[in-house]
Amino acid sequence: MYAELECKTNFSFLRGASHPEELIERAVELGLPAVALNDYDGVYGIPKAYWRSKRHKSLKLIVGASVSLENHPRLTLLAQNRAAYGLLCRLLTASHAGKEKGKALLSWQELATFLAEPPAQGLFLLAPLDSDCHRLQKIIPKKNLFLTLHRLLDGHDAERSEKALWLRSRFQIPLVATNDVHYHRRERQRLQDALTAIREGAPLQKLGHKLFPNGERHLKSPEQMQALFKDLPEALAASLEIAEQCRFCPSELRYRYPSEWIPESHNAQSYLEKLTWEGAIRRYPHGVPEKVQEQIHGEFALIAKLQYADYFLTIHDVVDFARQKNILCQGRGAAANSTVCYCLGITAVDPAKFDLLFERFLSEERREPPDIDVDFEHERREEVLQYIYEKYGRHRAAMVSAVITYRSRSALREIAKALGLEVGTLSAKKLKKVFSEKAAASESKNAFQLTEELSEEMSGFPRHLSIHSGGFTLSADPITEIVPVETARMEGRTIIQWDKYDLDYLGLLKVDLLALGMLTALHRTLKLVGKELHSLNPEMNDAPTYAMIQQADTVGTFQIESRAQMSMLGRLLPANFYDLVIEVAIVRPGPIVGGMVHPYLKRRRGLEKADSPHPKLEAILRRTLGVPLFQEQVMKIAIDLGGFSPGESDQLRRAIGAWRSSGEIKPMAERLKKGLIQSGLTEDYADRILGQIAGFAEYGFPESHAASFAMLAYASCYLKRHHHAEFTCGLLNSLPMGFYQAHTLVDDAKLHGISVLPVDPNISEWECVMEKGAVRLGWKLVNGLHRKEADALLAARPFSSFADFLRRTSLRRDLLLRLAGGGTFSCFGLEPRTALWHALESQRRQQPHQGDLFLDGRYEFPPSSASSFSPLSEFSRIQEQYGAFSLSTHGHPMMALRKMLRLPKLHTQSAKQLKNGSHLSVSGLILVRQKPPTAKKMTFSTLEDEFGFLDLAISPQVYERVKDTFLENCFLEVRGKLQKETNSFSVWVSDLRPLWTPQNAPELFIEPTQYFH
Amino acid sequence: MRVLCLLLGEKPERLQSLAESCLAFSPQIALSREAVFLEIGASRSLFTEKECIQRLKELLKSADWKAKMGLADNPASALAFARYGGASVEQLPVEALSEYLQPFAPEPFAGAEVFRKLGVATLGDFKKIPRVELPSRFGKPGLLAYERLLNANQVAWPRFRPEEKIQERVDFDCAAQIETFEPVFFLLKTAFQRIFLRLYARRQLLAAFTVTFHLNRLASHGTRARITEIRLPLPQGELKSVLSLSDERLRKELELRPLEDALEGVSITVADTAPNANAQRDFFSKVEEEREAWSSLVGRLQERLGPQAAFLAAPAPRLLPEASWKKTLDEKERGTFVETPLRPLRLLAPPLRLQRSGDWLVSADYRRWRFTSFRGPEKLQGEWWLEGFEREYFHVETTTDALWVFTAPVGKQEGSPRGLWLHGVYD
Repeated sequence: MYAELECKTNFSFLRGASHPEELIERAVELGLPAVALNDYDGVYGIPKAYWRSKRHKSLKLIVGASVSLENHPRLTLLAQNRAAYGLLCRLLTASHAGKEKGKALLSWQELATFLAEPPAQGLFLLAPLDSDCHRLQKIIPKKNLFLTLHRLLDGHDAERSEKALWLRSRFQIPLVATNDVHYHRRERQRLQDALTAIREGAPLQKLGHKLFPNGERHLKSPEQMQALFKDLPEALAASLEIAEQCRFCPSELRYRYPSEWIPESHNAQSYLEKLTWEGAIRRYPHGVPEKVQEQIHGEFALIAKLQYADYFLTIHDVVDFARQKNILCQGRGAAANSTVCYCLGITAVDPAKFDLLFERFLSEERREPPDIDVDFEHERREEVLQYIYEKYGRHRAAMVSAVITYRSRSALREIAKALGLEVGTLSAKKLKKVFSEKAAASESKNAFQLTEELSEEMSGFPRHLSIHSGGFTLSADPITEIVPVETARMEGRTIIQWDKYDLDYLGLLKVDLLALGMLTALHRTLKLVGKELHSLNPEMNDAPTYAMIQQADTVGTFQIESRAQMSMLGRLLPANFYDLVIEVAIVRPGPIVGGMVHPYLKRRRGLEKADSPHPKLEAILRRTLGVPLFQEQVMKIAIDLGGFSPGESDQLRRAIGAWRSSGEIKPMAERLKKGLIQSGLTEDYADRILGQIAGFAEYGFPESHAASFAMLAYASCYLKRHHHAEFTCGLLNSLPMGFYQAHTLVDDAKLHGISVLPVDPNISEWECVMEKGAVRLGWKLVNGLHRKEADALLAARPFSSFADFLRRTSLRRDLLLRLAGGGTFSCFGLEPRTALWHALESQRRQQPHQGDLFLDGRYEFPPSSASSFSPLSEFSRIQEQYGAFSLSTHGHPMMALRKMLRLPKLHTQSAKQLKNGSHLSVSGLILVRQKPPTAKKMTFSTLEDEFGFLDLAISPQVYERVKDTFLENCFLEVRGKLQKETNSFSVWVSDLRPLWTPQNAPELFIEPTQYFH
Repeated sequence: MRVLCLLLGEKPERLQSLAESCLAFSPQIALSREAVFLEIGASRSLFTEKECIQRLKELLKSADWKAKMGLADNPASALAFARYGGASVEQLPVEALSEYLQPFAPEPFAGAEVFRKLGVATLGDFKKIPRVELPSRFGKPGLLAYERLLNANQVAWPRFRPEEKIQERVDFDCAAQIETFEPVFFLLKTAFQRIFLRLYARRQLLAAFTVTFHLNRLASHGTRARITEIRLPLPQGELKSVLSLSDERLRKELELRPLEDALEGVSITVADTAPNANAQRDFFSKVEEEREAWSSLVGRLQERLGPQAAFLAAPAPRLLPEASWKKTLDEKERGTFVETPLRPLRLLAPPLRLQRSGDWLVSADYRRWRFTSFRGPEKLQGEWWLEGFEREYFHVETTTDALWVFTAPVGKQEGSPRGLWLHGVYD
C-alpha cells in the first residue's frame, strides 16, 4: 500500500491544477488510505478537503504545508497532532509576516526556533534531495525527518535514486516515496501547463523546459507506485508509516470565544440569559408575552446545547459598543429570526410579530454555527473594527478572507494569453469577437476549442485572497494556533487563510460586521432633524409616507429606489409595513425566476383568487396571498405538509440554494412532493409549488432579512417624506452609496421644491449643511478637492473679495479654474468667465519666478479685458458646474438643451398622462443601463429630465439595432410605446437617437450606472 | 514667403519619400512628424503657385499618397489651413494656436481649453485680447503664439536633407574587355575598402549591397550596367570575409553569364546596414575575430550548399526533441541551454521506424542492431496546443552503437498500438 504525502491543490496558486475536493475524490477512487495536502505556504485548501473527506471514512486527510525557506528548496511539513498543527500555523504566520503578498519566506533561524518547541515533536519534515541534510538534522529530531524520492519518468529518475541512496547512507535519513502531485488526473496536465504559462507571464510556446516534461504528477494508485518503486519498497512503506502517525483531524479545531469579560458570578449561558431578559423587558415594556417567553426559553435551550452563548455575547458586546459610541447598527439576515437577538438589541425585527421561523437561524440537525450579520454606518465601521482589535488583540482577532476566483471571462482571458492570444482588457462584448478572430489566426491547433475547454476547467480556481467585506474571527486562544494569518494589502489588516465557507465547513464561528451607507445617511439626517431612529413613527403607519412610496417617489431611499423596485412600487402599491417587506423581497431573482411575481400581483389586485387548497398551506401563505415569497415559507411548507423536521427543512433550503451545482436537491424535492401529495394536495399543485421553490435557487431573501431591510427602507422613506431637505443633505454627505449619483439626488430635491445652494467660499463647510431650510452644498462635492486643501481654505475665511481669496489660498490650478468656471465665486459678484480670467493671472503670480517685488502680496485685479467675454450660456453654465461638482444647482441639463435644440415637446411627466399604448417620443438623460440575467435578454434603462423619470424597456431585437447609440450617448431621444400599469410607467423602445452628432457634441458626458451581466 | 504644407494624416513613414520627391519643386523643404513644408515663393520663376499645386497633386496621385494641403504666408498658417481647412486666419479655431506656437513640432496648446471656457473660440477672438494680458496668464507660450499669429515672430526653418547613400565607384582607365576575374577583384577590393571605412566611422555593419558593373558607354546594345544584389547571411564589419564571399559569388555569376561588353568600372552601393555595437575593436581579444571568421564560414558554406544546408542554430524552448533547436540569423542569439538527460548528438530527421525481432532491432531499410541493454523510459509528453505528442524514450546499448529509441502511438486514435522509432545515435 501507499499513501500520497505531497499534493498541491489549486490553492498553491498557479501551480496546483485540481480542487482539493477533486484530489480527495480521486484518492478514494484509487483506494489510497491517506492523502496529505501541503500547499505553498498555507493550509488554504484544508477545509474544503476536510468537508469532502467526511463523506469517505476510508480516506485519512493529512494536513500539511510546503514551507519556503531562505536559500533552500521548499520543505514539506505534516502535522501529526493538534499541537503540531498549531505550531505549523504559527510557523506559516511567521513566514508571511512582514513579507510581500505571495512571497512568504522563513529564515533558518525562525525555522530552528519553531522546531525547537515541544510541539515540533509532532511534525514530520519531508525534505527534497537537494536539501542541506546536515543542517536539517540539527534542527529536527531524526525520527521526524525524511527525504522524498520521486519517480517522474523525466529521465532523471536514475540520477535521483542514486543520489537518494547515497544521502540515506551518508546521513541515515530514511527515504519516502511521493509523487509531487499537482493534479488529480493526468488529463489536467494541460491546465497545469497553462497555469505555468500564466505564472511565468509567457505564452506556452515560449516555455519549453519550464513546463513539466510529462503528465506524471498526478495521483497514482498504490499498484502504480509499487511498480515504480519495486526496487525500494521501504520508501513506500515509509509513506504508510508517516500516514499512520498523522492523527490530526481538522474536526479537532474549535473556537473558544473570548469570555474573560463575563462577570465572575456568571458563566456564558447564564450571562446571556440575564442580558436577554433585561433586553426583553426593554423590548416589551408592557410585559413579555407568554409566546415570546416560550420562544426565548426554546432558543436558550438550543444555544446551551450547541454551546453558542459566547458567540451571542460577543456580538452583543460589539453592538453595545456601537450603541455607546452612537454608531447606528442593525442586524440583518437570518439573525432577525431570533428573539434572543431581538432582545439583545442585535436585530430590530420582532420575530413574534412576524411569526418568523427560528430554525432558519439555528437548528440542531444542522449543527452549523449561526450566522449573525450586523450592519454599521459605513463611515464608522472602522471604529468598531478597531475596537475589536483593541479589546481582543490582533493575535485573537483577524478578518476572514474572501477567495477571489477566476470567473469565466477572466479565465478565458488568462488561458487565451497562455495560448499566445493576447486579448487585453476588452469589454465583455468585444472579448468574444476579438478572441474568435485571434484564435482563428493562431498557430495553435483548435485554439478556440482549447481555450474554451481550459477556461471552463479553470473557472472557479482561486486567484488570490482578499479581505472579506466584514467577516471577523475571534478566539480566546491565539488565532494563529487555528489558522495561519497573513498580512492583507490594506494597511493594518490581517486576514486568515480561510473564507467564510471554510469556517462553515469546520464549524467555526465568525462575526459579520458589514458597512451600510444608508445607516450613515440616516444617522446624519436624524442628527439634522434632532430625532432618534426608534422614535420615528414606531408603528410604521404614516399615510403620507406610503402615499409617496405608491407614487414610486423613492429616489435616495433604501432598497426600494432602483429602477426595478420603483417600477414594482407602482404596481404593488404598498400600503403598510408588511407590503414593504414583500416589496423588498419580491424584486429578487428568486421570486422572478420562480414565476411568483405576476401571480402575487394579480391576487393582490383581486384578478386571481388567492387559493390555498389546504388549510395548513393557507396558514403559511396567507400573508403572501398563497404565493411562497420567502425561504421561511418553503421551510414551513416542508415541515407542516412535507413531513420534514425543522432541521431537515433547513437542509432543504440549503439544497435549494445549490440547486444546480449539487445533486442533493433531487431526493429532497421528491420527498417533499410525496409529502405534499400525502397531505392532500394534487400532484399538479405540488408540482406548481416545487416549481416556485426552484426559483429560490436564484438569490432570494428570507422574510426576516426582508423585514430588517424594510425597516430601514421605511425609515428612509419617512425621512424623505417629512424632512426631504435634511435627508438630501444626509445622503449627499454619505456618498458614495446607494443607486444614484449626487446630481440625481439634487435634481430630485429641487423637483420637490427644495432649494439647493451652490458652494460658497464664505459659507460652505466641508460637508453639505442646512441653511434656513435649504441645502448648502459642501466642499466635499468639488471634484478633486482633498480634505486637507479644504481645511486650509476654511481656516483662511472670511474672504472679502475674490482677490482676497486668491491671495490667501493656494488651491491647485486645475481646481481653481474648475471652481471659477463652476460659478463658485459669483458670491463676489463675478461672472464665471471673469473669475476664470482673474484666476488665471493670479495663478501665474503665485509662481516664484513671476513674483512682483513692488506688489508686496497686496494684489488687486488690474482693469482688464475680462468684461469683454460674453457671459456663459445656460447650458455652458450647467456644463461648467458639472465639471466642478458633477451636478448643477442651475438646473437639469435637459432644461437648457430644450432651449438649444429642437426636441420633442413631451417630457417624462407629460408622457405619463398619455393613454396606455400611445406612441411617443421623449428625450432625456440616461441614468441607468441594466440587463438583468433574469429578464430574458431585455435591457432596462431610466431616462431622466428636469421633470422626473421614465423607465425604458428595450427588447433584444431593438437593442441589437440601437446598442451603439445606447451605449455611447448619455442624452437620447427615445421613441416607443407607453405601457401603463397603475402607477408604473415604462416606454417600450422602438428607436433611439442621440441628441447631437459626435462632431457637435458638447463636452458633457454623465456616466450612467451600469449593471450588465 | 509662400509656404505650401502637405499634411499626411496616415502613414507618416512615407513623409521622407514625399519630402525627397518635393525637392523637385523647391530646395527649401522642411519636415515635421506629420507634414512636409515647401517654400515655393522663390520658385515662382519656375512654376506659378497654381502649377505647383497641380503638379504636387499629380505627384500625390501617382504615388497613391493622401494629403491635405494648406497655402499661406508662413508655415504655421499653412499647417493650420491644411489641418482645419478654410482660408481665413480669423476663422481658425483657437486650438490652432498650437500650430502657431510650434509649426514644425506642434504639441497641443494647454491654454486652448481655457480659451474655450472663456468663450474664445477662434483666432479672431483671440486676437482681440490685449497682448499685455497674455503673458501673466499663459506665460511665454501664450505670448509667442500671439506674436507668431501676427507674423511678428518668425520660426527658424529646419532644412530637410535627404538621407545619404553610401556608394563607391572605381573605374578602369579605359574600358577593358574582361577575361579573368582578377582585375575586377582588384577594383572591388578598393571600393570595399572605402565602403568599410565609411561604415566603420558610422558604427555600422554591412548587411546587403549591390555590385554594379558599368559597361562600355559607347556600346550599341542597350545594357549599360549589370547589377547584382548580395545579401549577407550575417552583417559583416570585416573586409576579408565580404571579399571572399563576393569573390565566390561574382566569379560564379560571371562564369555563367559573362559581361556583354567592355567594363568601364565597378560600383558598390550599400543597400542595408546593421548597427555595430562593438565598433571599438578589442586588440587583446580574439572573440570578435573568431566571430567574424565564423560568420564568414557560415556565409561561404551557405553560398556553396544553399541556406537550407548550412545555418546557425540555437536552442528553442520546445520539449519535442526534433524541435528543440531553431535556425537563427543572429549568431548572438544563443538561447537558453537546459539541463536535460543525455541526448545524442546526431538526430535522424525523420525518425527511422524500427521493428523488434528477438534481440534485434531492424529498420525498414534492413539495417540491424542487436541490443544488449536498455535504460528508461524517459517520458516526454506535451505541446498539446500544437499537434501534441507522447513518447517514451529509451537509451539502447547495442553490440555496435548506442541508440536513442522511442515508442509512441502509431495512430492518433486513443488506444492505438505503439510503434518503435530510432531517433538518434550517441557518439
